[in-house]
Amino acid sequence: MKIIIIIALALMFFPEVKSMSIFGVGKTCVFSAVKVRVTNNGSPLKNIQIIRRWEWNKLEEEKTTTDDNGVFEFPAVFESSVSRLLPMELVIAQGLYIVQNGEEKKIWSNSKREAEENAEFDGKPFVLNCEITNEMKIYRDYGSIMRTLCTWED
Amino acid sequence: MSSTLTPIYAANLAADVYNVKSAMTREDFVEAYKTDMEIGDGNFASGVTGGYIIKKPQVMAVFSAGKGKYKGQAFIAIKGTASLYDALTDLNAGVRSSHTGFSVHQGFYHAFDSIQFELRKFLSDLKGVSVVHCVGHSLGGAIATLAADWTKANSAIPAVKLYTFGSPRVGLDGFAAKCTSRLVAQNIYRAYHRTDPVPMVPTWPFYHVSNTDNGYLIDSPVSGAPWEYHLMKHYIKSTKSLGSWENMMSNRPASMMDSAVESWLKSDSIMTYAASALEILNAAFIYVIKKVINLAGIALVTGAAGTLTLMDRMAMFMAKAAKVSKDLSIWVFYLVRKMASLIGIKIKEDVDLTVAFIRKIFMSMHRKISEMIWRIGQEVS
Repeated sequence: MKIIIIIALALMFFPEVKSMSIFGVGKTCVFSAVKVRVTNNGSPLKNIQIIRRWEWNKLEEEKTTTDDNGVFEFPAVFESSVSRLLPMELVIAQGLYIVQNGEEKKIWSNSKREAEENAEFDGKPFVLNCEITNEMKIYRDYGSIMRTLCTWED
Repeated sequence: MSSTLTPIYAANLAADVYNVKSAMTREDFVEAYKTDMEIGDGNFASGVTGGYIIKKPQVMAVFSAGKGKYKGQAFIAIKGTASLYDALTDLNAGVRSSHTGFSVHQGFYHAFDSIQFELRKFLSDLKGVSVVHCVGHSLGGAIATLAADWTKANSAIPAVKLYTFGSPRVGLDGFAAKCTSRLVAQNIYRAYHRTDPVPMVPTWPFYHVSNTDNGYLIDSPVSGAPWEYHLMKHYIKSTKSLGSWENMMSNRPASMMDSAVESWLKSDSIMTYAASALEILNAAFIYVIKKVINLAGIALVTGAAGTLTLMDRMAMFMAKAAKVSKDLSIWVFYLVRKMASLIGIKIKEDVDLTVAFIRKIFMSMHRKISEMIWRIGQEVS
């Protein structure tokens, strides 16, 4: 348990820290609830497969399909890990993909650095419009590198 | 032409290098830096030159020649992995001779060793480069320090600049002094928050690089999570708000004065776990060591040979100093008294400061911390 020495050091030397708070850190939002509308030249992309992937301690994924309006939703996902008890940078890779003609196309990816839900958009709900003819662009508005062809309301 | 990375650029790069771990975000890193770096999707094994991503069990790194605004420059950005945390917290840390011949932390040595072959190849392929920027956060900062030191020692590149955020200490005083003179203190940008605990370890006899100043200390509050201010998001916010290295330097909080350390050592009050107590204890160690070396000329043997741990050597050094004169023994006594009070022991002024006694105090302190850890371990698992 050597690896937790640093916790003890931190607790010893920063007594203002409520020791209980470190026991609540296990629960981490690895992907916030998502609501996305996918269009192709303005028309909804109906019934296409969507993959959501994330990688914290291991790579995980789940799938869904768009409805008649080209909309898909995923609920928030939470995971726990004792690694949150180390003074480590929290890094969760996230991606959204559409599957067309058997081929995956990335429409959004991000590196989530905060445990809170909706941290991807700095507290705002994760609601996107994705016009697949747009080009992928880099955004740094929320700290880490986000790359997407989607747009959202500020 | 100024070829120093801005604080915010260096902070973003130190944070972004974490993205290379997952294939999902690795390509985003490459895309985000395509105007500044020659890096492509290729890895080292595929034989591309210019830039590549290195993935090893303990280290991940990006080595790349610069382009556009950064033409004639190169980047070495490093991240450590979880497997290195053991090294950081081992109070009995082993040291060994670095690739440039000075005592450094064993864990960091092995981590750097695992990328040295690739670094050598990368540097030998570089053409017309006048400055290399080495960047890293946390353990990545420690390895970036070794990479910068090695690069300067083994290449003809005129300037090697080092930018670290929340880096732990890397080596002993010999390494800190040599690395500082090799890189030149002005080329070392060591940024750290006041309430980030990681730069406080390993404690003495490890020293920070540069050893001639206090780095770029940034004020930060105490937070609910012990290492909140170790996280890159706060370093990014701080560097954004402070803007330039000059600004960071001029906003630096005052450093610990010798007189403050002296009066802290002399005071008989019970040592409480007040914020920055570890910092004072560390300053006090260095203060007493300096006194001993200056007044008695006793050297602290920290070579890699032998089976003695640093704790043993420290105890021997202190005990020897205590025998030299009353002037010295009183300072060793003050220091040992402070450490003893940390473990709830009150020692008398006429105590015999033998190696065994001093060692016992050091080890009890270590054990007390370990017990605490064990309890925490039980509660979380």
